[in-house]
This record gives sequence, C-alpha cells and structure tokens, in this order.
Amino acid sequence: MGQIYSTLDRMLKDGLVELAGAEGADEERKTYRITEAGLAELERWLARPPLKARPMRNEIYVRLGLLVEKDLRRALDLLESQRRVYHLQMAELTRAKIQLAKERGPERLRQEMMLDAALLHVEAELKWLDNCEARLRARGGMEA
Amino acid sequence: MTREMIRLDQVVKEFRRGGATVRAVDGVSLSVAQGEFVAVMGKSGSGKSTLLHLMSGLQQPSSGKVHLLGRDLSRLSDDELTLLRREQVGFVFQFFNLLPTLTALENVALPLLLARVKRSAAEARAREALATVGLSDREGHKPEELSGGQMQRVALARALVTDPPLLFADEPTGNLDSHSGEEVLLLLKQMQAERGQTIVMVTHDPKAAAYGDRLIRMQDGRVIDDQVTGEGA
Amino acid sequence: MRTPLGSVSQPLQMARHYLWGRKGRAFMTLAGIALGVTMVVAVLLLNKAILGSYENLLTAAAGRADLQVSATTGFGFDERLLAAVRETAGVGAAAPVVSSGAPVFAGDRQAGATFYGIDVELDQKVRDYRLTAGRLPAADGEAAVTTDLAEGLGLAEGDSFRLLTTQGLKEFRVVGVFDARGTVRGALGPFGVLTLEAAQEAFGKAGRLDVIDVIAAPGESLAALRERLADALDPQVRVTTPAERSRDMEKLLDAVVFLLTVAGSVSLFAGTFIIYTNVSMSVAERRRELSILRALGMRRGEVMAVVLTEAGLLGCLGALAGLANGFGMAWVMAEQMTDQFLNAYGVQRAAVTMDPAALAAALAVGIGAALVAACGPARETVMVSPMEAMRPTESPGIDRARLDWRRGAAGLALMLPGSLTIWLTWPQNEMVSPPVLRLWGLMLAVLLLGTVLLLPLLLNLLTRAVLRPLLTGVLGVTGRLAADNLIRMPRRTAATVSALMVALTYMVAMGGVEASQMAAFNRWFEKNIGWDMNVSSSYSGIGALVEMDDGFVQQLAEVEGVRLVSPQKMMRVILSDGEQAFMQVFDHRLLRQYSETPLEEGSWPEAADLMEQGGHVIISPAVAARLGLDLGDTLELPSPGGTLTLTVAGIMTDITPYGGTLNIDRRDYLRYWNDATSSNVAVLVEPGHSPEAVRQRILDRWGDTMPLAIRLNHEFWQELKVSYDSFYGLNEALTWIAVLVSGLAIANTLFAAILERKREIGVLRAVGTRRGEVLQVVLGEALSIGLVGGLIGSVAGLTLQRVMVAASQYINGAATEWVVDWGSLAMAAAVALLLAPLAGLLPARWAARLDVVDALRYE
Repeated sequence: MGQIYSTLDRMLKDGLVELAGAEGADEERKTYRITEAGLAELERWLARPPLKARPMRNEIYVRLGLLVEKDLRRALDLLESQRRVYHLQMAELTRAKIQLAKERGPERLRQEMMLDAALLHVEAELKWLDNCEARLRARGGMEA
Repeated sequence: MTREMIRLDQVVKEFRRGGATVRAVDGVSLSVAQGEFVAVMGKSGSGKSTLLHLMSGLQQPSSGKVHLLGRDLSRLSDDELTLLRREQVGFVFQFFNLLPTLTALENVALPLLLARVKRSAAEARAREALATVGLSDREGHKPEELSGGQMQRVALARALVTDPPLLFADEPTGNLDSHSGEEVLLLLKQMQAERGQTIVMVTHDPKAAAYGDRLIRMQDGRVIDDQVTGEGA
Repeated sequence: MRTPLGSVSQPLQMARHYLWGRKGRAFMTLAGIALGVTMVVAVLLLNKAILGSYENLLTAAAGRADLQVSATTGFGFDERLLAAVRETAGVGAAAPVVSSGAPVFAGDRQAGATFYGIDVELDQKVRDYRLTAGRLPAADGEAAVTTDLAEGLGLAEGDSFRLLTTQGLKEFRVVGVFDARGTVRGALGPFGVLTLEAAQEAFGKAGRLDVIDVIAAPGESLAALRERLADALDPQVRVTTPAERSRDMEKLLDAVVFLLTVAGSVSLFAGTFIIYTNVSMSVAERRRELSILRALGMRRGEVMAVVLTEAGLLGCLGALAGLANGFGMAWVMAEQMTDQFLNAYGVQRAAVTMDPAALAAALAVGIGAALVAACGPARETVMVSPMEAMRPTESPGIDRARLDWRRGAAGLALMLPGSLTIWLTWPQNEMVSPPVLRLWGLMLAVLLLGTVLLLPLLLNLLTRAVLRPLLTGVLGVTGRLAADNLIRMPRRTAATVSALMVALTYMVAMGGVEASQMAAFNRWFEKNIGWDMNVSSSYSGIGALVEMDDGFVQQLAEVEGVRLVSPQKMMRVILSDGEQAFMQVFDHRLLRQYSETPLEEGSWPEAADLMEQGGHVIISPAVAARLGLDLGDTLELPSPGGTLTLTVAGIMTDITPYGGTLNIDRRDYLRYWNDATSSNVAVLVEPGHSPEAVRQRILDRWGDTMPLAIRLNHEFWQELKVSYDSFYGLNEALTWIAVLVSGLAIANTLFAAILERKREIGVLRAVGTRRGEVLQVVLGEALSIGLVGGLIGSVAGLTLQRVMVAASQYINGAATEWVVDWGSLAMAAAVALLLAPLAGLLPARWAARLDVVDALRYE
C-alpha cells in the first residue's frame, strides 16, 4: 500500500497529478486528479515499448544449473521430461485456441493474443531446451 | 476397439548415398488407430519424411512390414498401390504441388477424374470440397492466381475430395505465414472431428504439432518419444 | 587479376566439364548437329560436283584452246570448215577433234572410255601427251591410251584391243601409252586417241568433225577473233570458249539443281531445328545452376560466355563430324548420279571435292545454329534475378502459354513477300531463268521460316480448338494434361514440331513430285514407246554413244521373226536462241505403225501425215515457249546441208528433262545431214514369234562381232523407272535423315519437358496416377506433336508439290500434272503417328518409372 503513495507523491511533485479538494468527511481519503501533463505522459507510456527482458524465474534453470555440474546424464533426462511437459502445454493451449476460434465476442481477441504469447513462450522454451541439449552433448563429447 | 489404420513392424529404410548406406528409418514399429491425429516431429534428416513416405506407400521399406488399412503393402503391385492411394489416401505437401495448367476446381477434381468418375459428378464433388475449405469463389482460378494459403487449401480440398479415410500431410504449413498455417491446421482438425479421418502430419514446427493428439518424435531414424498429447493426456 | 586468356579459358573449362558430365545428352545434341550439317554439306558438295563435272570435262578436253568451234547440228559438222578456220586471220593453231564414248574389249576385260580422233601434228599444239611408252597413232588401226586405261584393260605397247564402231568391233593396236595427270585425268577418266580418219570412220562421222580447238595468235584479241570466226563460218557451227560450252549442260541440270536447292533449304531448316531444340534444352535444364553462378557474382556477360562457349563447342564438333559425313554421302550420291544420269553426257566421273565454301557453310550452320539456339534461353536465364531463378519453379513455362500474336504476325509478314515474289516472277510463257530459280529456292526458305514463326500461334490455337477436346475425349484427364503440356513451352514445342513438319513437308512434296512425274511418264511411255524391242550398241541411259550404220539395220530386218525395223536417231542440237535441245529423228511412215507421239496441240494421224511429207517438225512446249512458236509457224534449223525451214505440225507432250525436244522425219535428216547411221533401232516382231526368242536370234547372229544391247518393251520401262528412282533416291535419303533428326528432337524435347515437370509427375503419381497413365500423358504429348507436325507438314508439302510441279514445266519443259500421291501422304501420316510416339516412348517410360519421392523432392 505504501508503494503506491510514494509513487503518487512523486507524480504530484512532477505535476502529473494534482490533489482534488477533500470531498466528504473522510479525512483519510485523498482524491487525485490527472493533469494535462499527466495525460500527455500517459500517452507516451502506452506507446513506449518496454525495454527490459522478462526475468528468468523458472525452476528448471535452477535445477539444470545444479545438475550440470553433478550428472550430465540426469541433466539430459531432465531436459527430455521437461520437453514432454512443454509439448503437453502447447497441445492444451492449442486446444483452447481451437475452442476460442468457435466463439464470438469482445473477449476473443484479447484472449487470442494472450494464448499466442503463451504458445510462443513455450515454443521459445522448447528451443532453449534444444540448445541446452546440444551444448550438454558437446560438453560431454556425446553425439547429437 | 477402434480399427487399426496403419501398422509398422520393425521397418527399416536404407538409402545409398555416394557409396555409403544411410539408414533413414531404423527399425520403427508403431500403430495408428482410426481417428487419430498423429504429429511426427524431428529435425531435418531425422527420417520423419521417409517414415511418412513408407506409411503412405510412396516408398517400400528395405525390411519390415507396413500395413495400410489391413493390407500388406509389400504384397501390392505398383498399380495396386497407386489405386490404394487414389481411393484411400489423401496427400498435402509443403509446396502445394498443384498442376499449373488446371484450374482450382480441376485440380481438386483430378483424383476423381483419374478414377474415371463422370466429369459432372466429379466437379460437383470438387465444388463441395472447395466449399469445405472456404474457396468456393476461386474455383475458376489457376494456381498462379492464388495466394500460398489458398493454394494449400486447394491442395487440401484435393486430398479430401475422394473422402479418404487417411490423410498424410508433409510440412503442410512449412511454406505459409502463421495465419494461413493456422487456417490449414484448423481445417485438418475439423476434418478429423467431422469426418473421423485419420491424419498423419510431419512437421518440424512444435506449434503445428500441437494440433495433433499424439506426438511422435524421431531422431536418427528412430522413434525417441511417442506421447499422447490429446484431451485427457 | 583476370587476364584475357583467363576469361576465355574459364568458360571453356566449365563448358568442357559440363559436357563431359552429361555425356548422354551431349552426345544426342552432337548427333543432331552432325546430322543437320551432314544434310547441308551433302547437298552443297553434290550440287557443286554435278555442275563442275561437265565443265571440268570440257575444259580438260580443250587443253590450251582459247576458243572452240562446235556443231549446232547435233551430229558433227563438215570437215572442210577446218580450212576456213585455219585461214581466218588471227588463228594461231587449229586442231580438229572427233570424239565418242565407246566400250573397249581386251581379252575378257571390258571398259568404257572416251576416244578422241586427232590430227597428231596439229593436236600437240593444243594438248600435251606425256608418253611413257611408244608414240601417238599415225595410221588407221593404231591407238594411244592413257596409263589408266592400259592398266584397266591390262594392255601394254604392242597389244591389241577391240573398239566398238558403227560397223561392229574393230581391232586397234596400242602404239603408245601416255600419262594424263591432274585435272585432265580427274575429269576425263580413262581415254584414248586415234587418228582423225580412223575415228571418223569408226564413229560414222566420215567427213565430219565434232570440235575444232583454236588457239589465238599471240597478241590477238579473243573477242575480235571470235567475231571473225563466226563471220567466216556458217550457222551449223558456233564459236565459244570451252567454259561456255558447259553452260548447255548447266541448263540441263537446272532441274536437278533446283531440287537440290530445295533439298538444301529443307535440310538447313531441319538441321537448324534439331540443333536449336537440343541446345536450348540443355540451357533450360541448367537454369538454376546458371543462376547460382550469377548469385555467386558472375556477371551476365560471363554466364552468357559459358553457355555460348558450350554451344559453340558442340556446334564445332558437330559441324566437323557432319562435314566428314556429308562428304561421304555426297561421294556415294555422286557415283550414283554419274552412273544413272551423267554418263549419257560423256561424264565419266563427278568428283566431289572438299572446298572452303562447304567448310564455311558447315561451320556456319553448325556453330551458328547452336549459338542462336543457346542465346534465347541463356538470355532468359541471365535477365531474371538470380534469386528468382533459383527458387524452385512452381510452374515452369506456364507464364508463356499466352498466345504469341507478335511472332505470328512476323511469320505472316515473312510469308507474304515470299509468296508474292514467286507469284510475281511466275513465268507467263517463257522458260524460267536460273537466277529466278535460285530466287525461288530462297523464297521457299523464307516461306518455311514464316511458317515456323507462325507455328507457336498455330500450335496454340490448334491445341485449344482441336487437340485438347480430342485428347480429353479419348484419354480423359490424362489427355487433357498432355494437350496442356504441349503449349506450355510453345516456342520449344514449335521448334520440335517444325523439325518434323519440315521433314514431312519434304517427304510429301518430293513424293508428290515423283508421283506426278511417274504418272506423266507412264502415260507418255504407253503411247510413245510402242516397239517390241529396241536394239542399240553400247547403250547408256537414253542416248547411245556409238551409232550403228545402215548396213546393220538392213541385216537386222532379215532376221527371222522380225516384222519391221525402224532406225531412230537422237542428238542434241543448238537452236537459234543459242540453247540446247534434244532432237529425235524418226521414220514417221514406220513410226506410226507402232507408236503415237502424244500431242498437246495438233492431232496425231494428221501430224504423222505432215511429217511423212517432209518439211515439218513436232516440237515440245518448251521449244515452243523458247522460240515463241505455235502450230503452223516455221522454225529455222541449221544443218550440215544448209538451214532448213520446218513447219510446226504438232506440239507434243514431253517428259524428258532436256530443256526442249523436237522430232523431225528421217527423210529430211538424210537429205540435210547426209548421215544414214542410227542411234537405236525399234523392232516389231512378227505375230507368233516371242520377242525373247527373236532377241536371242539377233544376239546369236552377231555374236562376238558386235556387242548389242537389246531391250524389250517392259525392260526399257523398268530401266527408266530405275533411273527415276535413283534420282529420287537422293531425296529419299535426305528425307529419312530429316525424319530421324526430328525423331531425336521429339525425344529430346520430351526429356527436357519431363525433367522440368518432374515434380508434377510426382504429384500425379502421389494422388493416384498409375504408371500407365503417366505414360499416356507423355505419349499423348508426343502424339500431339506428331499430329500437328504431320498435319501442317502435309498441307505445306502438298502446296510445295503444287508449286514444284507447276514450275517444272517452266524449268525444263517437262509436262507433269499434279497427282496426289497417297503413298507418300500415307507414309507421312505413318511417320507422324508412329515416329512421334516411338520417339516419346523412352522419355515416357522414364517418366512413368520416376521414383515418386525423388520426383517430389526439392533440390
């Protein structure tokens, strides 16, 4: 809760928002109103592509990192079972997509975009698994 | 128990390449049941296309047996194989492979015309197939006047026109943009659902493979994984 | 870093690698080029050999003579003219000659040779005799012969041989052997000399000369001398240079030359086409490969250089092979022509010699056609962006299936002046001059070219209107695909069709011309040759070389079973227009009992009555046209006894190729020529006697004393037929080469087409087309090529035949009429319908056996 107030304070300082007069009895409640400059900044923000890459948070990275030093064989097994999981995920997402294709309505587009994102992420993970496998095999002197 | 459409027993296919013998398919055994949509994945050179050629009777194995619809392919003559393909099997290829001198409608009607179905009847059925793939308004067009996605849909219509129980697709989305690719895959899915067709699709694209409900992955001519990915998996 | 040498040798090496890598295709291309060049070279060399042979003969015989006095009256001229010549101012030397071809016998050996009667002293001023033994003849019964003849007969100085004379065989002793070298030997073949008097007696020319060879006095102008001589002498002789005399022969050979020119044009076309299809195919096949070179940074010019070098190399090799082959073919044909045709004119040998012109023509045709053929596809390849060309072609050729109106219009535009020129130069009444004939040959080539340009369009329309429905109806969808494929590469298919079309055009036209001539010949023969048998000595072709004297004819009449003998005489005379004509002398009182001269104008018994009266002549339409004569007009004919004035009693049908014929009556001939010899004797047999038995009796009666050639009626027919056949044999040989070549072209085109459409065949197979049905598609395409080629070829052939038949009466005055030759049409149809599928069989089998997966693969 505190974080939002410090952000609002900073925005107030920058003149992006202003305090509206206290309305009603509740003293604790502050009402902010967006300023002209604030509106302009919002437009800019919407159009600006986020620059930071998605952080790596998947457990698999950690486990793989640990196994690499310990046991190459098990690392490869881990990759393979993870791959099966991802394929299952993709199939599931695809089924959702097929289902979605039959529906109409305002939600469809947004959901399709979300599903695409999810599918592409899984695809990227699969590709990464392939790369990892290639590296591991090269390291272990195994054939592809 | 559902009917077994394809069975492979210890199938091996060898090629001679510059003096050396290469095993493109190395002892594969598997079975495909009616109504399955099988995706075969693998890197290039993994033997997945050869597997498709063997399953569909376009090539004969070096050893092992291939049964298609209960018939041992090694016992069929070339003409019998051809007739089997004409009547029971539909093909969709990566490069559409339409005949450039024929219109969309004629391309679709081709398998029927080859089977000496009367022209009017053949065209009526071809029209239906074109309607199924949503190209009724393009029947008089030559392939060169169609987009890639449209060509592939015509090819799909050609594969469907004889209403074959089996459909083989070799990288059907390989030459299409993602949107056209999705359309074609959705159509395949629709065929499986509505007509109960058995589909075997070779692809290197996991997104395309995800449309299947069984995934066979190949490496060095062997099946390294055979996984059910469909509902309830 | 690129040196000039580098930029030349690099394409050369690449071309070599490529050709070596595809030996099969390269060989096929090479064979095509070689065959094409063979045709051209053979025709060219033969043409030259035939024309050259007579000229060589005359100039070689003339020695150092500047001018020659020769007879216009056929059978020699009065020897007293020699004195007049010698007295003419400006004449340095004058040597009289009498000559005749004759058979010679020595022991059991026999040979044919020309014998010259010479005045030994005078003659050595004109000719050199390099004696290797003995001396020249000085008295009757003596002879000198060439080393060739001596060797042929196994004779040495002092030996004797027998020579056929008008009175029978007569013995001569060899008193000298001389060596004829170089051109003389080549042109004259083996020959011998006798004294003038001996020769005059032997050949029935007492008091006559054939030629006086004249050498001008030093410093004398030839033109002036010639004029003076002409003034001093009378019209029974003329004064010419030796070479000019050979023009008579050229005229006679015009018909042959015309046929050969047509054959040449046709072979040039067929040859060019096979080269074109072969080379353009090999370039088209390598489209992607060449594009990769482009993508790797080769410039357009450099890629063109690679392709053109390769084509040039093939063209050059093919041309050389074709040159050798053509030389051989011309040689064989020249031998045949000499035996069948030229012997009658005293030509012993038509020497085929390789000359720079033939070499140049062979190289020009071989290399030129290869380069032109390579240019089109190579340009197409380098003009598209490399990336586009490397992309697997989805639909090869489909973009060019549009109707090619522009080329079609160009074709029509070419055909127009071609036909217009022929139409405008079509003779009204006069004979066609050689330049016009050559022009016609050229225009025929132009017409062919026009047809060829028109062909893609025609092919397209024909396929859409006729072939596609037809094939679809018969074969179903495979037929439909075959018809479609046919017009996907209209130019290439058209080139192939052209090759076939040209071959068949030629086949139909020549067959038709031959049939027309045979029909005319048969009709002519039936009426004109009514005798039971014909007796002559040393018979060769149509003219006998040694005449028979009157005594022999009288004795012949006394043989048992002979009802009637009628002496006939044949000779060549010079008419008032300076050109040659063939003159026949008949005793019309006798002739009318066994023959009827077929008349175009006038009627027979009446004309025979007039001829019997004397003072009349029957002429051929050619003579009528040359001199502007009609029935009842008069004709002036020079003779040894002064100029005759003859009234035209009839105009006869003429089938001989001699440029004009006239018949006179024997009584007029005896009076004016004072010559009782005959060339041959027509014999009628008494009823109840068989001609064979009578012939045997005649042969027994004369036995060894006089070798006789006796032909029965049907044998004569057979003989003439054979000489016709051998003449047309040349055309047949060329036709079959052209057919062979077009078969190669068809196979080649189909191979290339299949190669390009390999994947389509894979698709067809995958979706359920049986091998047999793939076979049908390719054979359907082949059959269509055959059908179109056959159809257009037949129409063009009939047209050409029509023109040639119509032209032939203006070329040599021989009347022929247009006869549809079903035989050659059937043959053309058979070739079109069988050759094409046969040529397509190999490609079709290949296509049907393609591995489906292989065919579907992209590489």
